[in-house]
Amino acid sequence: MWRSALNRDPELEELFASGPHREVVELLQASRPAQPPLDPYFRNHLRMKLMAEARRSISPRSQPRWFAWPRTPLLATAAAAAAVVLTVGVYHALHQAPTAVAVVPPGIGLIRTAEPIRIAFTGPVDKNAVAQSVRIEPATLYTTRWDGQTLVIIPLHPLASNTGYTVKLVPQTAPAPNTVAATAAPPVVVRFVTTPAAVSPVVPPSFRSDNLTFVGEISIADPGAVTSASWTPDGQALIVTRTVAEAVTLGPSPSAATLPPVVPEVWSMTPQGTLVRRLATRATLPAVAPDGRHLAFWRQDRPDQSSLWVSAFEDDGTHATQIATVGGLPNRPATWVGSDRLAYGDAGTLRLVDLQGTPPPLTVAITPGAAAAAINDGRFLATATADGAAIFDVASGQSKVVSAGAATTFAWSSDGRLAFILSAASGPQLWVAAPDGLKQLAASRSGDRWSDISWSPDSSSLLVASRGASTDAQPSAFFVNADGSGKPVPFAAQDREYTTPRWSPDGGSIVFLRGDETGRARLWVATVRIGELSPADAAQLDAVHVVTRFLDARQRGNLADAQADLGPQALATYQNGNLPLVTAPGDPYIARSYVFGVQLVSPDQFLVTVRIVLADPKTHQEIQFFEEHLTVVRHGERFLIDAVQPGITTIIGQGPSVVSVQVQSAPPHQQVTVKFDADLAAATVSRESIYLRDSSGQRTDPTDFQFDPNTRTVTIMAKLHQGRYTLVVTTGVTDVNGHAAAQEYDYTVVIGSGND
Amino acid sequence: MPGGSEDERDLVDRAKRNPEAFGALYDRYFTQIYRFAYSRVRDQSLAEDLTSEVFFKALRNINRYTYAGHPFSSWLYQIALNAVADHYRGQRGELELEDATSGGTPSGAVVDEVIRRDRSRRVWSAIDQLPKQQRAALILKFAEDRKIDDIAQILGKSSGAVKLLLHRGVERLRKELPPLEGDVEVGFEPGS
Repeated sequence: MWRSALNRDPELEELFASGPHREVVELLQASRPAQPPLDPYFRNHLRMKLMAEARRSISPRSQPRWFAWPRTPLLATAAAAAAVVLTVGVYHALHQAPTAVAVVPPGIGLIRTAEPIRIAFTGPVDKNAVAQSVRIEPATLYTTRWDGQTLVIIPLHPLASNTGYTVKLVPQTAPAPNTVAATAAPPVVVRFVTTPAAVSPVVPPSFRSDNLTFVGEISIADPGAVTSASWTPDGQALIVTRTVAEAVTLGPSPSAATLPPVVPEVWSMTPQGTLVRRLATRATLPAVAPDGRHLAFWRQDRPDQSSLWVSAFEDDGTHATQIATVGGLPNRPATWVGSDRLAYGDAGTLRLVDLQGTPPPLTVAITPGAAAAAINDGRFLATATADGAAIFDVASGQSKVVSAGAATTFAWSSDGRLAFILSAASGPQLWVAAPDGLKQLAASRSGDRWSDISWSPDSSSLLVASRGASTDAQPSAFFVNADGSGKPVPFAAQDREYTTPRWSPDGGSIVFLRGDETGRARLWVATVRIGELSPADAAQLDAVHVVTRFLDARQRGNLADAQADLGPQALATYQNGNLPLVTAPGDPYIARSYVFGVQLVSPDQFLVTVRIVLADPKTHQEIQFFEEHLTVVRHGERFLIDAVQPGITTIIGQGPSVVSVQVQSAPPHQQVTVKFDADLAAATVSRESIYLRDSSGQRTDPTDFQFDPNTRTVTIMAKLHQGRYTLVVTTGVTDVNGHAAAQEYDYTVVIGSGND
Repeated sequence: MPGGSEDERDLVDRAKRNPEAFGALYDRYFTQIYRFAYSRVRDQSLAEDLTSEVFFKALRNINRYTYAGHPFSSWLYQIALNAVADHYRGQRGELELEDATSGGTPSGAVVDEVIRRDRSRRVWSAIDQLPKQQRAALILKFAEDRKIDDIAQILGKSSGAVKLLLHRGVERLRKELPPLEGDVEVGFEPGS
């Protein structure tokens, strides 16, 4: 007979009907393990990520279109699973030679591109030797730091998407005294794959205010941990200011008087809240250059003096250069003018200075404390003068007052329009100045205070921070169309606080601060979704969905499912044996696959390039990838894969590779965006090494050619006519280690009627 | 009796087509899976990683899940168990032992309570020292109240094998638990 009716379990009664086990069973039944510690934000955070992924992968047609953009399902779901810093390995190093046991188990999930890589050690090692032993393929610039016995490898730029990485620790040097001989260890080899990137829409979406939907918001930092946040120009990371206790040596009897002082630091942070890298110490009011290569920040030297510093973004601030000094502490970051000059307020003067600290001849008399903003290419600078809001030609010094009155905030759109806020007696007014005139977009007569203007990626709308007139009014925000149409649309819940909201460059997120019940600010990120896609993007969504289903079936080896999405011609192509639809047992198998690029041929036809990665059946290492060009055509209500052309085949691990190509119409041009997996030697990236060739074999002259090393992206603008072109990446392109690809890479670019 | 209610099966079916239904599944099983993950790794951050992995894998594979007489949660536990195994592959079971047990016991004399709590703490700590299959079986049975058939499905074993695991686990705990007499010291005489 059991002692407690509450704990009756017939199975246990039968199993332990008698005998000496009863006390143990009763003890186990009468108690429970302690409730595990649980961060309530983790539960919400995970739910939000899961739901976002579920909306993408479960039912793309029934959900709002933009964020239901399909990805290769297997990849997409696993990608989000790796939501934390990756701990990839362990050295057993106590009283024995370190033994490498670090291999990411298959199926652990994909790694987010902005996360640092962590390798834990169980005992003392020669930290310098270990840190110097790191090798990353594809070639990746990185820095390292130690968190206790954990080596943290921090890529200087977020890793490439859809890429298999190999991180090796190859011990090379003698160990430090009293540490285990690193040279005795076999190399640690860690392999992982990064998350897939979203497939870009063939037609840029509209961010007009009536097409925006608030999805949800999550807190990404503890209360008080972060005091300000802004996006990097490429939108891959946040630049945050946080206060930390300065490291000082305490005496034997620490007292209040010897407690370490709190100092501000500038860090990069992932949009998910992982602190990645310290960029500067004793620094505040950071500003990243438009090209992402430099960081400017202020340091308070003494109560009545501050200095402006600039450092390479890849640095930790220790090699920063002081370029200017002002009295007191500035109230705002310095303003980048292009990527090689900075403007800063010095009492009633706006001064310019280059990165060596040399002041160009332009100084501007401004309203003390006035804001300033420079157009993307740095040619024009807007600020508040005694005459009103004015635009200055930085080269000539000529100025034009665009509006009388007290202007408080300025922001330039990517297409060269200036938004600013005027403080009128009746309340704030939002204006946009363009070469063809001036337009008032919104005005408040309630005495609100407006600030922090952010433009949408397509310059069709703005996000404006607002605060009511009363001292206890909550900060909020609203969207407004840049052409003045419609009414301002409140952002998110009106009863919640949104302080200093900043729209991400891709338009999908908004970072902001919100005070909690203790009065401390907490950093949040809200997600914004596009409500309606253009017909072309909606069709693309359906076409890509068919392709990802097709790829998934092939990866699962399900021939029938794969064939279900093929038209007769494509089916014949696969069946004649030239192209394998599924792999045979014992052969290299499909480890993953993804949509590499999508091109609009006509409103009902897309050219979808897919990349299929094969792995060795014994080692499970990715060894090779090949591409296929699928012509996907609408047949009634559905899309079918009508035709297939084989693309390149490449052995993995032989120099830099292209990981995606995007072709977008940007009338009157076409824009071709090429992303690489490796950090490239910038000198090898040029119009000569990467170009477009027409069907007759002639090179086309690009109207613009840009290389962004931060994102490993080449952008070519060209006037292309209807027809076929070839994007050529020659073997002249090398990675930062000097390695070139083994073969030239060619990609077919189709300019069809749908691009007009 | 087959596990899994009609309601649950309906919810799982809907979750294959409707993201919101998957969200409901998450809400229903998050605590169980997180608690189970934590009980296996004793590390909050790691338990979060594993829980995340379990639900994303479930989302990825939910179309492959078919009802086979066991609750949906058994499938989640199975994924969790594999995730834990993957994590410790190569780490040779370096677990840190920490906290004890929570109360949840009926009221009684102070001395009984002290003794009970101490022995509860010991017995749950001792579970952490068991071989991993025994440990998993005991946690699923005593902490998660799973049926033996479900545990068998989760562990990929027969019901008989699970009974054996439970029996051996309890036997081992019994041997490692000190005798009741003199187990704890209290500062007053019995009966005072």
